[in-house]
Amino acid sequence: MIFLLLLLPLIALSQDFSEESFTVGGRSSYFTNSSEWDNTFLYYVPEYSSETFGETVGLRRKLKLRVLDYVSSDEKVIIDPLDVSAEFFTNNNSFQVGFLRYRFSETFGVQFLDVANPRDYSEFIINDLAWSKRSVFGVNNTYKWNDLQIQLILTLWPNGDRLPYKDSAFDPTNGQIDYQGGVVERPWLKDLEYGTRFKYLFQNGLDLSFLYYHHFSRPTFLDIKFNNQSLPKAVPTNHLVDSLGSSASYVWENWVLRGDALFTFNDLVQEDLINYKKENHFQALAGIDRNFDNFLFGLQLQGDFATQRHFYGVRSEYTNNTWWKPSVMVFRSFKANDQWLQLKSLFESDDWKFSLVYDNIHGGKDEENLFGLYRTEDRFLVDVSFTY
Amino acid sequence: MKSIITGFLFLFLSLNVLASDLLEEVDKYRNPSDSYLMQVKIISSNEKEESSFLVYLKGNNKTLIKVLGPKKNLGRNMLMIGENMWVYVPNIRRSVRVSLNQKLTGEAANGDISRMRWAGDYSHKVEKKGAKEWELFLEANKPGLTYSKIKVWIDAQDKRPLKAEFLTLSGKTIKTATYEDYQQTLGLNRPRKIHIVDNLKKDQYSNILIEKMDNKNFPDSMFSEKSLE
Repeated sequence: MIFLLLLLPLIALSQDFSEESFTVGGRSSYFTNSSEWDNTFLYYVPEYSSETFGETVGLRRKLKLRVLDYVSSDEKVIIDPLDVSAEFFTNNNSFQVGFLRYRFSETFGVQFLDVANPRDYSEFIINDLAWSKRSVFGVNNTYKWNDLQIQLILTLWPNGDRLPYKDSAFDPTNGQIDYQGGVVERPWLKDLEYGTRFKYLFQNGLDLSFLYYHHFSRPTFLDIKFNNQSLPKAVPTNHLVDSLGSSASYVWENWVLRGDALFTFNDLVQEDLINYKKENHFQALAGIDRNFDNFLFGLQLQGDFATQRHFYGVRSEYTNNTWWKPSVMVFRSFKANDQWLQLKSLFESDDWKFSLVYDNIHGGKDEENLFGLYRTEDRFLVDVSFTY
Repeated sequence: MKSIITGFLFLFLSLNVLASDLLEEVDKYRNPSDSYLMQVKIISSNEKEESSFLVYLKGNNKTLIKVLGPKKNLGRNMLMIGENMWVYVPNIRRSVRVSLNQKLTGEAANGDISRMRWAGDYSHKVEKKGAKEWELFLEANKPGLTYSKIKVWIDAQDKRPLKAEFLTLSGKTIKTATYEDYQQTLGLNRPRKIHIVDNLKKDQYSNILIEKMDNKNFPDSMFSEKSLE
C-alpha cells in the first residue's frame, strides 16, 4: 500500500525512458555423430520496459517473455517469464517484485554463485548462457548507503530446472528408463527460498560481496525409482540447502580480475553416473580478462573440491568489426579427460542476427567425467533472429 | 617590504582561489545542475550508424547510460560509480566490469559522456592568459580516469570551454575535442556539439551531439548494476 502512495507524485510526470521490441527467431542443432538435426524450435521474445523518475521516487516496469515452440519434439509450448517486474525507488532503497533473475557471480561461464535461479539444461551446460537462467517469482529489496548495498531476497515461487526432453540428444537416460524431462514443477508458496547479500565498493575499486542463501540444490539429480511393474523411472531430485558465498572484482590497469567462491552445506554432489552423495561442497573460480583494441581475452580457473574436477578456460573474441564477431572458447580439465571447445561466429545487422556455433565435446570413455555422457554429441548450432 | 610581501601573498592566494573556482566555472557550461538527464547522439567517421544514448548524471561520480540505438546495441547499458564502470552484455545477459577508458563508439570513450566534470577529478594551472583565450593544464588527481592529462582552452571573458587536448601520462596528445554550437539551454549558453578527433589517425572523428538536456533529481538507489538490465 505504501508503494501505491509513493507512486502518486509520478502520475503527473512523463516517462523518462521506454523501449519495446519483438524478436522472432529459430534455432536448431546438427549432431555430427548421428547426422541428425535436433532441438529445433522457434522462439518469440516480446519486451517492454519503462522508467519514470520524480524528485525522490521512481518506478521501473519490465515485461520480457520468451516463448519456445518446439518443432523437433512433442514438447509443449514453453512460456518463460524472463523478467516481469515492477521496481520502486526511493533515494536509498529499491523494492522489486515479480519474476526475477539475480546475478551474484562476477565471473563468466559456470556461474555457480548464482544460486537464486534454476537453469535450463535442455542442452546440458553447453546451452548458450543467455538462455540458461530461469526466473523465480519473489521480492528483492536493496538498500544502498554510499558504497554499501544490502540486499534481502524472498522467493515465493522457486521454479525448477528445465531438463533435457525425452529422447533428445541430451536425454541423460539415453531412452533406457522411464524419464519425463522438461520443466521440474514446483508449487507456489511452498519451500520458500531466501537470502541476503552484502556488497561493498572500496575506494581502491575492489568490489566485494558476501552472500547467504537458503535454496534448492543445483543442479537437479535423477533418482532411479521403481514403479508398480518394477520398471525403473528417473525422478528429478533437489534438496533444500544453505550456502555461503563471496564474489570480488578489481580493475588493475586495463585488466579486470574476478573471483567467486561458494560453500554449500550438505549439498548433493555427483558420485558416479547415476549416484550422488550428500556432503559439504566448496567451489571457487578466479579469472582475469582484458579488452584490447581489436579483441578481448579472458582466462579462468575453476575448482570443485568435492568432485575434484578442476578446469581452466580461455576465451577470446574479435571485437574490431561491427557486423562480425567471431570467438573461441576452450574449457578443459587439468586431468585433460574433459574438454569443451566452442567456435562461434556471430553476424549482426541492425535487425538481423545470425549465429553459427560449433561445439566439440571430449569426455574420454569414462562416463563419470563431466562431458563423458555427451562425448559423441559434437554439434553445429544455427540461430537466426529478427528484431523489430 | 611587509606590505609588498602581504600584497604578493594576497595576490597568490586570490589567484589560487580563482584557480580552484575556475574549473567549476568551466564545468557549469556542460553541467546544468548536480543531477540531470541528457540525450546524446554520436556520429563517427568510421561507424556506419549513429549511436544514441540517454545519460543520467548525478554529482561527480554517478552516471547511468542507456543505449537508444542502433537497435543491435540496445541493452548495452553502462554504469559508472566513481572510477568504476560496468557494462551490460545482452548476449550473456549480465553486467561485467570494464575499465573507464574502454571505447564507447568511434573516437569517443565511455568517460567522454559519463564524466562531464573536471573539477574534483583534476588539479590545474593556468598556463597562458591571452586577451581572447586562456590555456589551462589539468592533471588527474586520482587513478583510473579516462585521461591522465588535459590541455584546455577557455574563453577569456566567460570561461566557456573551447578546445581540449587529451594527453597520455608521457604527454603525447591522443585526442582533441572542440566545444561547438553554443546555444541557450537551461538558462545558459551551452555547447551542443563536441567534435573529437583522433590525433594518431587525423581523418577519424566523432561528433557528440547533445540533443536534449533536463534538470532532474534521481534517487541514489537507481545507480546500481540492476539498472543496467
